[in-house]
Amino acid sequence: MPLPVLVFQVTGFFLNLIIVCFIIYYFMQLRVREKAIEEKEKKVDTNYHQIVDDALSKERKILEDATTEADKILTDAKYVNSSSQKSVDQALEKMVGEIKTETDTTSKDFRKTYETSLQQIATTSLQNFQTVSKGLQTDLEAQIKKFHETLLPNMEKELESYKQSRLKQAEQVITKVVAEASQQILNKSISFEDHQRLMTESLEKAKQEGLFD
Amino acid sequence: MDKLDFSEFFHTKAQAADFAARLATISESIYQTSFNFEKALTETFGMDKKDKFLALIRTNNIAISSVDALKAFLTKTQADIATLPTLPITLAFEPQDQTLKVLSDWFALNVKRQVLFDIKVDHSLVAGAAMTFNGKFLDFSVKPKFDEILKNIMHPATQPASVQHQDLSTMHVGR
Repeated sequence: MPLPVLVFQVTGFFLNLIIVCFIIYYFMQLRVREKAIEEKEKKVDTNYHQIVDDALSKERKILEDATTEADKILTDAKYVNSSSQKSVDQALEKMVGEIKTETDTTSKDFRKTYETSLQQIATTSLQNFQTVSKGLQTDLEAQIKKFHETLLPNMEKELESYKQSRLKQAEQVITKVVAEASQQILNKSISFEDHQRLMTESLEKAKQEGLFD
Repeated sequence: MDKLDFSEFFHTKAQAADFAARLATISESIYQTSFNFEKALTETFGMDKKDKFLALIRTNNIAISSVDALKAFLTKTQADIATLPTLPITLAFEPQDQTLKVLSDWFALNVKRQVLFDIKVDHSLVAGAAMTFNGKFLDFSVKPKFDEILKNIMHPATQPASVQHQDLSTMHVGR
């Protein structure tokens, strides 16, 4: 075997050995890191559980405190509520009594005022009515007096005049009717011969009067 | 030629106007060649009046054969009719032909002349007649007396005590 090939083989062997060593070293380092990470994880997990436990314990404590406090508040509130209701009831009863009293007083006052006003109005109205009645009576008497003094005689005069006028008209109508009726009756009661005779007599009269001269 | 007497032909103004109009128609056609006077008279007035008119012509010595003489007579006749006086007379009754004849005869007998009557009828006159002649109006009807009597009956207080009933002979003249 030539030397260069041997050298190359030996060198290659050593290089392979170095690479193997390096890979081993790498794996060993990787394992160390993995262990460190596991430890760290374990530690974190422990811390996590511890924190959760603490939180739970705190939570329970807070809940217990809140419940206790709420019970206390409720107890106090019930007390306050019943106390307040009692006070309110008493106040209301008192208020109702006062209002009732006040209402009675006010209604009595109002009634009294109303009666007084009514009495005053009635008195005033009666006085006004008496005044107006008296005025009306005076006016009426004056008008009746005036009517008797002036209008009545005039009316009587006009009535008499109207009566006379109507009587005159009626008389004229009656006269006309009587005249027409009498004329017609007389006219028809005369015979034709008498009419001719009277006509001739009229001509004789006219001749005597000198009408045809 | 004297005044002609038309008393046998007409009595009233309307009758006279009608007669004159018919004569005028005959007079206008008298010169026609085929004119026959007697025939024209008969057709215009009838047989009776034709004979009376021919008698009137003969009385006045008019020759019927002479157209000119006939024409002159007709003209004179129309002129005479136009000059006849009119007597407006109001009667209280409807006159008949007999009445007109009585009136006409009375005038012929008493006044000796013919007048044309213009007759109106007014029953309110009761009886008698009222007439106007030569501008004078005379009322000889019973109406004035009747009105007076009626007035006395309707207004007895205003009646004079001395007033007595009057007959037609005591009537007042005029209205």
